Amino acid sequence: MEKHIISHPTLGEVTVAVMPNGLSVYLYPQPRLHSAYCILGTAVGSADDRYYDGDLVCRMPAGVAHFLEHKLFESEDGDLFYKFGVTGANANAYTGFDRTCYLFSCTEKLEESLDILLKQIQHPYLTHDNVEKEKGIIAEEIAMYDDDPEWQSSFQLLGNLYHENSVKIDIAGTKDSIMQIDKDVLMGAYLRYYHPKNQCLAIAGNLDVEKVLAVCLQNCSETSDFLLKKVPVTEPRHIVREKSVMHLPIAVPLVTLGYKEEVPADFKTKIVDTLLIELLVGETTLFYKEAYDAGIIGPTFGTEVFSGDTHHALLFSCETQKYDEFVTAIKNRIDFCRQNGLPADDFDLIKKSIYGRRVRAFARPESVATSMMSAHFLGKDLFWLTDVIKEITFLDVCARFEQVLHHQYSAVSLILPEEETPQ
Amino acid sequence: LQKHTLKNNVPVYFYCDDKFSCNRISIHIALPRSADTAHLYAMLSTLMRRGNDTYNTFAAFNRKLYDLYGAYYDCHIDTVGNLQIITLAGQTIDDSYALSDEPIFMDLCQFVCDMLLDHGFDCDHLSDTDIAIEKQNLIDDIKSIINNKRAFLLSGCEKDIFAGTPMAVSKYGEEADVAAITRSDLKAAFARLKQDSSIYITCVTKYQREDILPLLDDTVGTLPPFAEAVHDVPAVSFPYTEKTMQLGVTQSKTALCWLPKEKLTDKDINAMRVALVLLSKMPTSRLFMNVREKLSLCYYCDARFNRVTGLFTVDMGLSEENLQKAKEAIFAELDDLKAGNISDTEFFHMQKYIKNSYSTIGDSESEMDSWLIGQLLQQKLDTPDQVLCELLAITKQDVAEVLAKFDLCLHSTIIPAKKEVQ
Repeated sequence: MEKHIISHPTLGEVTVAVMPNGLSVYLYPQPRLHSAYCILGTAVGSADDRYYDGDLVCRMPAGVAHFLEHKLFESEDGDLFYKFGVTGANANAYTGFDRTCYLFSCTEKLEESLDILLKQIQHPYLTHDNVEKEKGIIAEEIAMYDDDPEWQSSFQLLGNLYHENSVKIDIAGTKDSIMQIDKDVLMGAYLRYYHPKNQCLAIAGNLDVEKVLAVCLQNCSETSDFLLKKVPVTEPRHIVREKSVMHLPIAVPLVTLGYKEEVPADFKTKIVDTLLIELLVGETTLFYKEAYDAGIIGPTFGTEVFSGDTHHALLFSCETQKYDEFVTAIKNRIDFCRQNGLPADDFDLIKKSIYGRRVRAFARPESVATSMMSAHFLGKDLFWLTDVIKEITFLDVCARFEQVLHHQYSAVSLILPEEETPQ
Repeated sequence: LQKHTLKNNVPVYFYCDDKFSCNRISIHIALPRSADTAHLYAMLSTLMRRGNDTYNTFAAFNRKLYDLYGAYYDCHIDTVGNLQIITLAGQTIDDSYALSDEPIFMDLCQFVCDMLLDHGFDCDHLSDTDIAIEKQNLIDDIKSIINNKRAFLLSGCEKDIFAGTPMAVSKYGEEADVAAITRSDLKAAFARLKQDSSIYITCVTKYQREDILPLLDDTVGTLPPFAEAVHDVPAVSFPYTEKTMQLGVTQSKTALCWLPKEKLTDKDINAMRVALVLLSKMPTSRLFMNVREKLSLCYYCDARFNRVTGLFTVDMGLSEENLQKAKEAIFAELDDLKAGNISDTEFFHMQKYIKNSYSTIGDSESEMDSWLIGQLLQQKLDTPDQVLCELLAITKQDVAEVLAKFDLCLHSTIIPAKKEVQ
């Protein structure tokens, strides 16, 4: 086992270990807390729906990663939740576009709960019956999101931006696609992606480093070589369509304007994009005041750097009656700053704010553990994510502005109320 | 956990521990929940969220928050029984993480206090346009309750069951009342807020209380004398009713509601908390394991209990054809609990879950803050550990007995709108 410590002058230290089977482990002790939070992430998500069979590119039905996440909590000797019930851990799991994560929080018996989790993830229990049974539950999960305006708006926008990238498809798949999933499909995906070298374990909170590492070592089963070669997404630069509209039973229209961008080579660029958006439309700008006073934006106005392994987009959204004016106002603001330069006045304050928000995340073991996992998959460490902000200059942001937010790569998603009232 | 009082007797509750990496202060203002004033206090909270006489533009207001290292600040409105609560809360990183040794938290405390006190309402900073915009934003908030169908269904149940009592009054008030608000209404409401409210301050912090108290005395301590908030929740009965609405949804949503037949004791309330865990809070709970996992009827099936109003609900999202089957499955689980058929294993899981949940509260500034105000509104000051001990003393018999004290009063459902046949 390789082990080393990364220290920070004010934020503490992280123990990093790599197990003989390739699993990376990150531990951040917070001895004064009662609780600990553990997350095991695998670098597979809903967007990973293509794989090589020899030289042939094959495609899985949409929703396999999410389906597998549901099923890995079952085993032949009982449901994982029952085992956690004995140790008192509170367990859950979730799937994103490029990650699947299993997690638990606990105030006692951390090592026992970790042992349960590591054993479980290494031993999938998939049968025809338990896979078929899950389809009804997942179908209801999909139906629940069908009624969620924000979820629908996001995927409608992604459908407008992306031709090939599977981020445009609901993470859980569709009611039709999940019907095509069987235990062989799931086992194939498991064997392809669930290798310790493609995973990361991160724990923060009240923990004993040596005891935790001992459990990891005990669960270090022999594994085959990790041979995964991801199928590259050949996504064209141009968008699919400029606008689409959906009607749902809502009260106020929901509009999202998105700019499809090239995936940046490093994470620092994503933070530069956060600063850029703040300088453009943040709450200290004249734009914000004028748009707010005109009723074009309101308290629901939000922005996002939507980024992952294969996608990168800058999003602006709001619930507003003036949705067409919203799109025009954002585009005009971008054009204005393109011609006149970005406002520099608040740059240092915004940096200070982002630094503070990063440090604030250290208040909770769940955010520390999740950040350690995210940093691992980015090839960085926990403290780099906090300190990199100090290096970014105003010129970095101006240079980035030249590359992004060009209107020909933008699209709009609009969710409008339907003429319907409760009967 | 320590209590102090300001010179006007406003209580300040401190939970100080150097384990925290952030510091948090909240000012909770308890007001009578009334249809006559709910919209006005909701408007005041939106105005106190966006600035005051000193930070009178978005730019000035947000620059201050940026300067406080991206401090969290919010002013939100909520309801607890017959009370409407405005909470002004601020949280930021501890001074030890400051880049140039600034006293960040003292500055944040001053900022939050000023957000409450420093409003003229007849001064120039709040123009008629500002008021009109915030009225429209609040109206949009009221209308947008329908966006979340699950919340829309449950809030509709509360309105039906508690009609005619303060508990039916929406936390935002009604759309027409908001539309009619004038500047002078706001000024009068702000004066009433300072005069007629019960203010509680909570600090979850690494700081020592001696550092903060003088600042609070010079600000909130200048308000009128403190009077304890009065919980006066009338007993409500509601004859069993079934209600179905059609909406353009994909999935049906259904809620079953029960009211207690008699006033619940503290022990009953604790027994209900235990019952909720057995029913739906754990991954091994009955509704999750039996209604979701075994019958595959739904993705979520959740039980809730309001200790102040006594309302107990179970709600779920599911296909319309499974509504009856799900209802029977939920009743079967409740009947089983009422019969005392609770295994040692599930009871052990419940106790472990509760221990985990309550032991974690003190690790988080925001959860501890919520805990404190919850206690204060009950006129208690129990720690999570004390309540945990009481919960661990609840028996299977207690659970069975408390569930038997409830009557089903409403079954409300949203189903997909039927297409008209041409």
